[in-house]
Amino acid sequence: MHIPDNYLSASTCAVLAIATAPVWIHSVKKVTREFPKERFSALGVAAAFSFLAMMFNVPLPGGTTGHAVGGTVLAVLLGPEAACLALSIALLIQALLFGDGGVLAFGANAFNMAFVLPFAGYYSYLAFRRVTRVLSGKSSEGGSLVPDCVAVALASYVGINLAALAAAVEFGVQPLLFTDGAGQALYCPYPLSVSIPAMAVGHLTLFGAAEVVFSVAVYAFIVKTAPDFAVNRAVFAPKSAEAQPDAESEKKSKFGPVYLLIALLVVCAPLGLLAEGTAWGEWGADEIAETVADGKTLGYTPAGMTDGFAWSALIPDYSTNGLPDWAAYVLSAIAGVALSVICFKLAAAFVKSEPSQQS
Amino acid sequence: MTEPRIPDWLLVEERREPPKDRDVFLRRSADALRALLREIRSAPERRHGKYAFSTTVRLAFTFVVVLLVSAARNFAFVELVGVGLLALLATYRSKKLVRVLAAPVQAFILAAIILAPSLFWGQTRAFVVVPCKAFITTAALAILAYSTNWNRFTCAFKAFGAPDALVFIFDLTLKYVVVLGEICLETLDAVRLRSVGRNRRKARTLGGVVGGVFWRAQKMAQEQYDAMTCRCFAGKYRRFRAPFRAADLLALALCLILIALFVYLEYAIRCSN
Repeated sequence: MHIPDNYLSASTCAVLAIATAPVWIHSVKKVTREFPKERFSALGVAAAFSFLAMMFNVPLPGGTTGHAVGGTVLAVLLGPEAACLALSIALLIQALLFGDGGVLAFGANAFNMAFVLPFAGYYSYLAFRRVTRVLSGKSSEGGSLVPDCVAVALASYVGINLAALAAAVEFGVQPLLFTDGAGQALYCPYPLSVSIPAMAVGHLTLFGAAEVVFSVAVYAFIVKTAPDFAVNRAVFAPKSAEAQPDAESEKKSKFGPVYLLIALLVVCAPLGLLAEGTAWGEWGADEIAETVADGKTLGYTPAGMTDGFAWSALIPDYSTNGLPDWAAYVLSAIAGVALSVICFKLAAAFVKSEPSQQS
Repeated sequence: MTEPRIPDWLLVEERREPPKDRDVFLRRSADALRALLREIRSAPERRHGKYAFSTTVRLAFTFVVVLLVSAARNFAFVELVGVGLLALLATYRSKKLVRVLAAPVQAFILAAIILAPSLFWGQTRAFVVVPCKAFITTAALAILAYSTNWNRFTCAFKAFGAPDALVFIFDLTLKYVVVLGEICLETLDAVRLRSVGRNRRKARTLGGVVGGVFWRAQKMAQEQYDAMTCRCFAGKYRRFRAPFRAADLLALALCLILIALFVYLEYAIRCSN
């Protein structure tokens, strides 16, 4: 779902970045106002989770690959605004350091994966939760892990599919808007009639399933082992006044199991290399001419791609010369996790406002 | 009897608005000094955990890292060490992280600015590699400086067989930075307080402040020498043998792995050329 550079026109990228800007501003304001500074590291951990989820590629018959994002589960655990920021940082690190997703297309990727996915997933979750709790006869107070997991599963499925639909529409409008004199597309060459089914096939089946499995597993694990991590008061009932955490206990929150899970995901990251092939819409400029749609080979490389913007990432495609692929993949996973945490810890040092009590 | 009369000049409302005066130079100098003194004073409070490496091993490890990163031609090694340092930095608390990262980020930016012209000649690799190396080596030193009790450096230097004169100078320097820093701070405060009205020549006081501090440093050095002679200090430092711990063994193993990786990756790049 990562849109590379030159698949969207610069104007499309700009429009989507401008469309995402108010969401970022709102998220930053809300998080700095309501998130305790001591909990900013949780945002880093959330970004790390998402970063790692996106490293586990799932193969689809036909040669394409996809991955989970984890946007919905983060929105449920931390709130959609916090998830938006965490996902944006994860996407930025991927684009700048690993060349996964375009630098110019960062606004578009953030629109799909850091705005549409967590917000759509979160509000779907609230709606599904009401239904699943009523159906299971559980009250709104605790002890309702199974119905909540079902709600998370349904919401994450809805979230990832809406994000994929947004990406498909962005791809699909390019040949309608930008063509050269010969009628050849300047950017993504596939119209809506191709892009929407192509994205839908993967996300309605395997990639959607991957998102569901990842989201439910992370949700159940965190609720059971590290409930301190789940700070979204709109979902997780606030503790009674006597049990409200003071500043000292905030600092000593137990994130140990969460760190263990991250370490496990880092070690297992090379499993993502088992999936061969390129995700739909993420071909290199050398690959796109050979792609087939509706039984026809494209046969040309769009001009916007041959003469477009090129960013040389430090660790391109999570691989580095001299190291075996699995080692480079683990190294990239560690780098991504560490940078995610560092970004939010630095942000915590510069946040001045005193957080108010969450309502 | 005539009633006491208030003189007219007392009835006039006094409106004195001193001209706006800028004391950026004095304020910034004083702030920088205060930050330095705070840092040095907090150094002895740094507790080395039960499982922490000894200072001697830390110093040796940092030296090896800086040396290997500087000499590496294979960028994979630089990435490897860089990722390791990032992982270590990710465990730090926010405030410490900001302090530790300040110098490496400055070094990175400075190196990038210096190498910016190389982009015009198509040397993009140098533009990436050199700032990264500058960041990593400075970060390694910053991590050492901010997580080690400075007094223990004297010990570590001696353990490496450094000449007594060097150890003596280092030991005294640390102590005198604090003493002279305080004198400097007091002088700057005095200058600021006594500077009434608009004074455009505050920066010129620098000579006076430095001169005064230098004169007092000379005097104190002489007194220090006399006091040490009286206490029969002959300029000899005894070597302190810190117990070798399991953590040190781990550091040593890590060091050997780094050296082996360096050799392997350098060999690999030589073969590929």
